Amino acid sequence: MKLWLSGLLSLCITAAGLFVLAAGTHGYSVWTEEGQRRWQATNHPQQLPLFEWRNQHHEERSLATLNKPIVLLDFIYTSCPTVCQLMGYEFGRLQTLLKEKQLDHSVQLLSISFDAERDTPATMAEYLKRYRANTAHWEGGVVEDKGRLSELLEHLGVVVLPDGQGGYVHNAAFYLVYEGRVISIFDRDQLQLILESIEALGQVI
Amino acid sequence: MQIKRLNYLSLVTPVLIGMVLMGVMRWFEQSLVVNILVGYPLLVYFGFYYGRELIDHRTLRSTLDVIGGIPGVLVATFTLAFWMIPRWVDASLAHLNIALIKYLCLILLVGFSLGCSWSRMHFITKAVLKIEFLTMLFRLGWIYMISPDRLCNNYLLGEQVLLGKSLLAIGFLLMIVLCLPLFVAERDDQGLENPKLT
Repeated sequence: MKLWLSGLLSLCITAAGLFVLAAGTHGYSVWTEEGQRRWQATNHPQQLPLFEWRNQHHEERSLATLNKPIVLLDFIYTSCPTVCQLMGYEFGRLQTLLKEKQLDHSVQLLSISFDAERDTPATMAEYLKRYRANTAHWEGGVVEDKGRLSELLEHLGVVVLPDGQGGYVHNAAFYLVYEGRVISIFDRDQLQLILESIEALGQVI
Repeated sequence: MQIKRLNYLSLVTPVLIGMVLMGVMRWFEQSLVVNILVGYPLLVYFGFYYGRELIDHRTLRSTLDVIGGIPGVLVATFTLAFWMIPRWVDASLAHLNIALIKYLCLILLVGFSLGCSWSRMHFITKAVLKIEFLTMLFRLGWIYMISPDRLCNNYLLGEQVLLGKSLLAIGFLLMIVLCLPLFVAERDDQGLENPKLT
C-alpha cells in the first residue's frame, strides 16, 4: 500500500517538476536572463522609462524630440577597447545599409554611454567620428541624471560590471524601440535580422 | 542529537541558524564560485542535517514512509535543477524576495527532503543517485568551462570558467572517493542493513 502510494506520489512530483521547469524557462526555451529579456521584448513589449541625454552637440535630447518612430539603441562607453568598438562598427555598417534601402529617414541610431564619469559630449563626438557617423541619423548621448540612467539600464537588463582594469564588462545588444517600446533585442552579429525587422516596420508606417 | 519529540524550543536553533545562513548567502553571492560551491552546499547540508534527525520521529514515521524515499529525492532533484538555471540565479541576485524563496527551497525542498529520504532508500537507488550527481558535476563543469557567453549577467566570464574547472576538479575527487570502496576487500553492505524498501 505504502509502496503504491509512493509510486503515485513520485509520478505526480515528476509531472509537477517538469511543469515548473517548463514554466520557469518558457517551455524549455529561455535559460538565461538575456534570453528572458528577448522573450519579454518580443511577447510583451514595455514602455521605456523617460530619459534625457546630452548629445555630441551638447544639446538636451529625449525620445520625444527625436521625431522618428524607430530608434535603434545601444549602450557603450567610449574608452572600451573591444565590444563597444565592434558595436560602433556594426552601427556604421547598418547606417550604410539603411541609406541604401532609403530607410535612414525613419530610423534613428542612438548610442548611449553608461560611463557617466568619463564620457562627455566631446568623447561621444569623437566616437561617432571614428565610425563616420552621419549625425543626422546617428547620435551619441550622455545621460547626466544618474538616477534616470540606472533606471533605464535596470529596465533593459543592462548589467555593467567593472572588469578590474579600469573598464567594464557589460551585455552588448541592440534594442529596437518602436513608439517608445522595446519590441526586439538583437545580438551584435544579427545585422541582417535587424534590417528585416526595420523593413517590416517600415511597411507598417 | 536526535529530536525524539517535536517541541517549539527545538525549532528555535534551526530557525536561527537558517536566518544567519541566509544573511551570509548574500555575501557569498558576490562570487559565482563561492555562491555555487559554498553557499548552495551549505544551505542543502543544513536542511539535510535536520531532515535526517526527523526520520526517527514516531508521529511522523508513517507520513515519512510515503514521502521519504524516491518522492523526496525527486522533489530535491527538480528543485535543485530549477535553481541552477542561470536565469533564476540572476533573478535571485536582483530581487531579494526571489532570493529568500531560493534559500528556503534549497534548505527545505532540497536538503530537508533529501535528509528525510536518504536512509530509507535502497542502496541501488543511492548508487544511481551518486553516479547521476557525479555526471551532473562533469556535465555542468564542462558547459561552464567552454561556454563563450556569460550565462549569468551578474558574473564575469573568468569566474564562470573558474567555476567550470572547479566543478570538474570536484567531480574527479568525488569519483576517486566513490570508487575507493571497490578496492577495499570487505564488501560494503550498508544499504542492505536498511531493508525497509527492499
